[in-house]
Amino acid sequence: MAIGHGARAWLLAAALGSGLPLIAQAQAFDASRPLRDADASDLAAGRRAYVAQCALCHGMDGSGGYGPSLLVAVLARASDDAGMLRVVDQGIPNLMPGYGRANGPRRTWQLAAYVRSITAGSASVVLAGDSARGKAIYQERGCGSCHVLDGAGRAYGPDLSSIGAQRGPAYLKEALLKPGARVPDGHVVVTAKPKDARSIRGVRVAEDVFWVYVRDPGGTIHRYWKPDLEALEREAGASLMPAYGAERRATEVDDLVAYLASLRGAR
Amino acid sequence: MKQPMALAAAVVALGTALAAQVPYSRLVNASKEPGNWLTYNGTYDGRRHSTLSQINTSNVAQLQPAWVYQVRGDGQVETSPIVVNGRMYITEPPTTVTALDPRSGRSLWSYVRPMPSDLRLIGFPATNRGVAILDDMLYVGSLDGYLIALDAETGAKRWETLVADNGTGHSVTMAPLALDGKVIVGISGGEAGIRGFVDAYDAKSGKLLWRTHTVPAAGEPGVETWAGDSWKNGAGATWLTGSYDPELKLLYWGTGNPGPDWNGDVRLGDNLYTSSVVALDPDTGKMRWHFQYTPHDTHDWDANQIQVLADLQINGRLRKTLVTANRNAFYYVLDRATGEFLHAAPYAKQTWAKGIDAKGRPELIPGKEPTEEGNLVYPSLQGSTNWPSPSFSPQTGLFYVPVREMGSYYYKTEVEYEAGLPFTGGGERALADEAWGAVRALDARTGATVWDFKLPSPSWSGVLSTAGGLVFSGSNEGNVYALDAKTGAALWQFQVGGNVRSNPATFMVEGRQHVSVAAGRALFAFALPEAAGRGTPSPIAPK
Repeated sequence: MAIGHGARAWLLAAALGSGLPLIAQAQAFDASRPLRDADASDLAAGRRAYVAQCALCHGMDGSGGYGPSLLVAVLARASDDAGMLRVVDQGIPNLMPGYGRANGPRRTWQLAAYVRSITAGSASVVLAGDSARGKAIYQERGCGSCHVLDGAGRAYGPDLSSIGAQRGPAYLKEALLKPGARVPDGHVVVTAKPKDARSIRGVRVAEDVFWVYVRDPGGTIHRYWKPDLEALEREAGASLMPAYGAERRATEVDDLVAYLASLRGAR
Repeated sequence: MKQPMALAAAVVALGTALAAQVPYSRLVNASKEPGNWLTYNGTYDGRRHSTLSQINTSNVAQLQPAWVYQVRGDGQVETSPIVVNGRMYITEPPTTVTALDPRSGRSLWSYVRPMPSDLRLIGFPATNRGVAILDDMLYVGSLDGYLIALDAETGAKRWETLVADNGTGHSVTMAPLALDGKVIVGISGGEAGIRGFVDAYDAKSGKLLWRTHTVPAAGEPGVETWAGDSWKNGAGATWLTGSYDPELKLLYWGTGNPGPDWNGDVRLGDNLYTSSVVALDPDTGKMRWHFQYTPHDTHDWDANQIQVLADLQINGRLRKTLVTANRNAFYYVLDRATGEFLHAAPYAKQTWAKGIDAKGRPELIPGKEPTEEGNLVYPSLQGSTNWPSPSFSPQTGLFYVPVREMGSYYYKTEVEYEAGLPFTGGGERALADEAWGAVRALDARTGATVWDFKLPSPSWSGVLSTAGGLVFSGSNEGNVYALDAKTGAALWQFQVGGNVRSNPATFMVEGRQHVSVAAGRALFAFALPEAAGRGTPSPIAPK
């Protein structure tokens, strides 16, 4: 078995693997390009590296496993391109390895671009819908009765102020048509059935071995000592959000997706 | 430093206790001094069972925190303490050893090992699961691949020796096992294409005494179970502490998955001695017998889980057995003198095997291999249980196991070995939404479930049983709790505010039984309320 000797071995391996001298390779590649400029071949190369190096902990689709999910609202350490490149290159001390030295600048950039694409979707995708019409539909349908957007609305469902930076169009479309397909943590639907009181169906705010907290549709949080409950039913694949009805024009969904995808927060 | 007068007596007492040492004879007889916790699982037999009963079913409801110690470094806290001679020795991530006063929770010294900036952690977090003690020395493995000996009194480093190069993905995360004059160490790196081994080092000098590979090399027996030269990166990591039977003079060590994890096409064959238990002669490292739980594993079902040594009535005859709840969802009973397979039964949901045949080999259900599109199989990649320790209570005859009920879509991809990078050939998409966990009590002879205490998510917490009729464990949601060992009824719980991902232990401090467990970024110790006047030495007059 070949035994490497620290960093030099990785640099050498990267250079040999590319068929180019390391210096020439480094000069030929501009790692400061925005990650969203990645083309299909970059993303394919990034995916290969992701599957080989990252899927072990973050899951094949980024939904997590041994390590945390990458499909979350905000990646705290990789909220912008520089942060994403740094984490992919160097890892996180004592938490996550970085394979930047083995990957070299090009593969590191491609890998970062791929991770960005699975979390936020690619901003360069041209959307079919009309964002302005989508905004009108958002108002007309009363989405704000459960969602907060730029500080306005009622906080029952997730805050949508920067949803376009967090979720890709495909995810947003699925969420409108099949809200129960992927339910974010904190919005799982449960029914608590106390022995001597009426049952409450709502979203699970928090749960541990002994306590569960359920927010009813009116917004009130109910606390239960689980051993006192007759039953606590979790509804797999359920959401309290109404599905966007099939009776509406198909273009409305696209318009709404275009609007949501344009919401990138006021930061 | 001004020392309040009221503390002076206690300080002197501690000083005298420290003169005592921990020879091998004390380790062999650890069960005879339950006030101390002398090895990773308390005793060489891996039972994580204590005969202490001051805390019991009638008073456990009064259990309360005695102190909390907050760790400093980043990384996952999975430490299991050693408690002896008025000291508690724990490890903190990445590779720090700290001596605490178990009376107050205050740290007395720390050995902090700096980590290289290009540290490679391939397939596990920056963690360390504990130290071993022998005579006047502590032994700790490091993430950068070393075994280090420290003076137990001061933390001064006596020697260090390279176990294996971290540049190729080797690390030591497990607590070493100290025997008579030697220290046994296993290796992590099963996702990096290492070739696994168990090592013995001279306790005084750090010199390597023997190395037994878990994957045979060309020309050695067993290599015919590896296609071509696939044995070279065959993995079989040895990343958890083994068990030891001093009468049979046999060391038992669980071995990890073959490499690459999920693409078995490049390593056709049974892939000995991966996903197995091997019985080694502690003097020579010679393999006396082996038993492979999962031949040609393609789901990362390591067999590193604690191999528990119990003496059980099997078919009307008292047998010296080795029992384990394997990651592959089956509970096994083996004869630990010979390796003979005696019995197996599923203890958690599984969809990959019809059963286990008379020789102990799984009868496979076709079509359960990882695929390019993803193939749903139970249990998930992390298995039906994982490294957190189970417990066996001779009092109840029950085997208590932390359970993970979860399935995964398993993927297979092309794979090529690159030194120092992951060598896995696929991955999983775990069905986390439908997953749950439990502490499950099994009849140790049959593996049949006797009771089940359900948890909201798959457990990462070990289990401790005591002669007080109790079982202690924790949850990802921050609960530490005590169950009735006979019925599984919850008798006490405390929310510690961080995930419990460690093994509970118990010991005596100045006449009071304590239970410790690491959670979140801290180590918690619990005890019954002190009698009036036995709290903080008081009054302490301000000066």
